Amino acid sequence: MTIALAVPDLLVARAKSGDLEALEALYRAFETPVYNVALRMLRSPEDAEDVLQETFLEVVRSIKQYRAEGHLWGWIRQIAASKALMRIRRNQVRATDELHEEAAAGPGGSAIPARIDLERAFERLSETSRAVVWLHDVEGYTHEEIAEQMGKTVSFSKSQLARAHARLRGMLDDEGAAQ
Amino acid sequence: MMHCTMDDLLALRGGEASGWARSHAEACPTCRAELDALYQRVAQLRALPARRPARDRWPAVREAVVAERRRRRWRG
Repeated sequence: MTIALAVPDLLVARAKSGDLEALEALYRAFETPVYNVALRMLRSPEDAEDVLQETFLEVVRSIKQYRAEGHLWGWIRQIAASKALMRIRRNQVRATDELHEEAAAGPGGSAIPARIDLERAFERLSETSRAVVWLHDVEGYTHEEIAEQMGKTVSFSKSQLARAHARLRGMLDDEGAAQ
Repeated sequence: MMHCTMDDLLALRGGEASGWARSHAEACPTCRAELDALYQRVAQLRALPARRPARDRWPAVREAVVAERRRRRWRG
């Protein structure tokens, strides 16, 4: 998603001083983009809403430290991605990501509906794969940045991306073959 | 005939492919089509419609912020 949100400096200054109206204005400006980053990385809308809430709590607590180096959206997105990745790690404690991917694929792990579009196919990837694809291909993060945020290696990020694209390609090919 | 792997295709997209992958993709219509499909998938992902959260989470954020400020004031 391309975000071109310009926030007036005066609004940021008021938010830094703790003005709740200004903070709400920031929330309203970035609510949808933050929710969408979280939603694409995570499986459930509820998790994405929780990340939205956690992100803005962090924004409110930390905005005094925001030095206007780069776009405000970049700073907020970094917080949102970090919160979403923390949630993915928490979810992985409950079950392995691999099992999630298989479960999402249906019984037997390979039951793909006859028709599936890219959005549905993307939703069938594991949370880790979704996070890597979304951050790299849509948000423009480098593998180095993803590796740092995930606490993994660059080669992990690269292999997750390749694996995810191979899986997307396979699912979409199945769709083409079924038509 | 050996074709480009997904790693090769991603490296081609990122401008860091091996010499073999670059020359193969130039000569191989199948791999060029795969590379085009990769670009299209990414373009489609970027164009996915934005969703809106079902619930307004600002009141919860506001409440938490106000409660934190109140606690800080009490502690003096």
